Amino acid sequence: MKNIRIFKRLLGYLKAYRLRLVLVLLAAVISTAFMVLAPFLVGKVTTTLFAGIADGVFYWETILWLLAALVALYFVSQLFSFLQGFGMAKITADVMQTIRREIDEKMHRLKLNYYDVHTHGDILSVITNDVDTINNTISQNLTAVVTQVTMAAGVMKASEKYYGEQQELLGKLNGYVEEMYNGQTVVQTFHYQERAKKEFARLNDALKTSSRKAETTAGAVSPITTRLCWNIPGVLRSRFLLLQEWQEALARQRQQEIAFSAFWMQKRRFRTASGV
Amino acid sequence: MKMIFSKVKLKPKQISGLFLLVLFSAVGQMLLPSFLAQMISHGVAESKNSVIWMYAAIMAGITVLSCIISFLSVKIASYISTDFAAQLRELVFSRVQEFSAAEMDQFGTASLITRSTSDITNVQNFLTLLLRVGLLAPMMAAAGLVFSAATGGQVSSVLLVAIPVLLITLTIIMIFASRYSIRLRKKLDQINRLFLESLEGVRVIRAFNKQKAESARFEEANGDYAMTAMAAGRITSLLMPVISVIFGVTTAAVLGMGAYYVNTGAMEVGSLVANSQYISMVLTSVMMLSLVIMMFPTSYACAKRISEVLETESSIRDRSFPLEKRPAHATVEFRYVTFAYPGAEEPILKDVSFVSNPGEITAIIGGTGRGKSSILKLISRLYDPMFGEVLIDGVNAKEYRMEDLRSFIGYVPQKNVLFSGDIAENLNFGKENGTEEDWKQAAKIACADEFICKKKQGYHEAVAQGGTNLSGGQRQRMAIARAVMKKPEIYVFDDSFSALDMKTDRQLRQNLKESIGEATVIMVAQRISTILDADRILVVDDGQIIGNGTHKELLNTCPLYREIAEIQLGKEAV
Repeated sequence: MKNIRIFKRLLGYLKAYRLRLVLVLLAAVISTAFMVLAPFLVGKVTTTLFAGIADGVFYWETILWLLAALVALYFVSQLFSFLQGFGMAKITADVMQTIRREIDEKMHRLKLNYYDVHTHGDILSVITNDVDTINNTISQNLTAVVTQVTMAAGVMKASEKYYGEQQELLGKLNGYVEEMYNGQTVVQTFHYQERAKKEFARLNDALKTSSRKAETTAGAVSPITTRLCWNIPGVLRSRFLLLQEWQEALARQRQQEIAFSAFWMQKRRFRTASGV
Repeated sequence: MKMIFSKVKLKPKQISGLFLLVLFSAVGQMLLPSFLAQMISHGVAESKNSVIWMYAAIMAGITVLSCIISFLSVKIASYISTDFAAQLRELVFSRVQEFSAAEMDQFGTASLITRSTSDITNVQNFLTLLLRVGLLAPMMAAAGLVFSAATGGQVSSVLLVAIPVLLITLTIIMIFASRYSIRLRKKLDQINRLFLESLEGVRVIRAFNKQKAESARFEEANGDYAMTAMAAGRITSLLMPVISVIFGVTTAAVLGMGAYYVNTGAMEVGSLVANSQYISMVLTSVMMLSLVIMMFPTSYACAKRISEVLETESSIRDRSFPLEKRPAHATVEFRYVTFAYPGAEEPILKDVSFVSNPGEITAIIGGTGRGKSSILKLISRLYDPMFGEVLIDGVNAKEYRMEDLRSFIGYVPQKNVLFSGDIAENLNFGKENGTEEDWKQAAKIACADEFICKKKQGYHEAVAQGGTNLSGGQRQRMAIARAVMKKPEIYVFDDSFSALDMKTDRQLRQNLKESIGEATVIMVAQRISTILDADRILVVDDGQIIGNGTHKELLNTCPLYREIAEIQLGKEAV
């Protein structure tokens, strides 16, 4: 339920860019449609070659035309793919600006006692990490939805839970580090080091376990989807591989998946604060 | 890097296991195109359906197998990297716990926090990448080249052009993108700074009704950031299309060249198809590898910052003078102590000497920044003096085990740091597993029991980080109670009564006097009224003791003290 609410809210931000979004999605569709034709053309080349062998004649002209068409296909498809990215950049930047502005304004409206029970680091991380995460989601997921038509949805759901947990534990651990370092004088004079180490080890262990679960479930997505595409011939398959490993390489995948929970957390924090 | 890997224990079994799995996975990926080639040559070309189905089944089998292998290798890689990160975090945290104040100053708290958190995360991410991509990519590239050369060598010459073009394009786009990302980073810092400023000043901003002005300032930086983010996004959105085009043109070139060789009879159609796959595999691997290489400098910098922490030893060394052999109790003596903070040009304490005996209260007064707190820090051995000796119970402070020394010193810092948790947990800093009785007793002495009992949850009332949900006075009393919990021989109060009203101040001092017995008290104070009845008052100016005596004596012997007293108490009273 909550996910749907968050999703709706996220859509709310996108509403103002309806026309632009439609154009962006159209570009994505065109780009993908052209890409889908590529293996078909490659197949045609092989067929022509076979036909040539069978007939004893070599159909140079047909092959050259096919190859020229293949190159043209790539150019057109990637031109639209670029247009889509180009348009998306504007939308994401604008939406992020709006969200940041709203958080800032909310900060000035919140009841003061909210600040008694939240550390500055905690609130600050809303505007840094969480907003960043949403940024990556919007810019990549929307695109991914169209280009990948991914079967990862199920796995995403499973790993989302762990990512939320992992993010929370990471926050706790970092908060603990910050607090102990800031209070070093007291920690030392009260010889609290051993107790601090013990508590840290406990938090650290919990984080380790949780991130293992998250990484394993999320990591399963990419090889499975990649492998499922194995039998799609050459070009398209390598493109899938490219897309997915690429995203992994930039270590963004993890952020995508926590985005919704992060967004939800941010909302929850401010909602409870303002007593809505 | 070396430093880190010498300290973090990775399990060789996991790594060799991962290596094997990755090897299998690479071979599996290479086998598929070969089977595809066979299928085309023997099945499709000769129109034998049974052969096609056989190869299809083999390929499906390999696919399922490599799915399993991939899953396992992801699992192992994540085990290795999370284990690595957890060990590293623990090492760094433990090391910082041992740091003395000097090392804390040297690095700065904020920098240490970054090094213990996001720097480690960054290195962990890089390790994950290395384990998942860095291992596979070189194998794939090598295997791809070998297979391609073996099955139709001529077409692989396309790579001679394709790889350099790919690398150059990648580099150019990355240079532009990283330029933007640096600018973006700076603008993001700016946004965070403004936001934090508003956050810290939120009460003041409300009080002066300046929300609009603050928001306008924020919005300016926000808009600026959005513009840069958009430009950066546009540059990066060039990357994938350009790479795809390079891949596409390469495929077309391979097919074109291949068609020529098929025509001359030097190549079969099946191996041509397989070759186009091998070549795109090689290209993919080269690209991923170059990505890993591009991310290396940042991660290396992070690793270096972590190593610096691990390489730093605490400048304060532990000895092991047995507590029961101490010649005296509850005495503090400074003998010609000179002390400078690390990196400071001028010593903050010069030639300081004094004695405080059991049952005595020694008060220290003087202007701000003149070295009063430094005297107290030397007693708890947060720092060591440059010259001279600090004797605690007749033994040089350096001779003790730190834990022993601090077990009988109750320190109340100037900044009354409390920790998130509840009141009881904070009091238990002074005594592990303290009971409700202990808390009550300590809190009563510190005049804290009253306000604690008024809280809904009493001793289990939540305390926010830094104790910000308590008032300044409440925090001070909590910090005092925390020290009282220890039942120390030596009390060290660093300006610990400043936030109390006169009445509480007097009451608290009365309670302390009654309860501390033979303990000695050393306190820094601002208010003359707080120290009127001290056994000894040290007047500190410019790092030197310029007056030493009781209130009455000092009024006559120390002009500076007389001046302070006249200002605070009024001429007539003095």
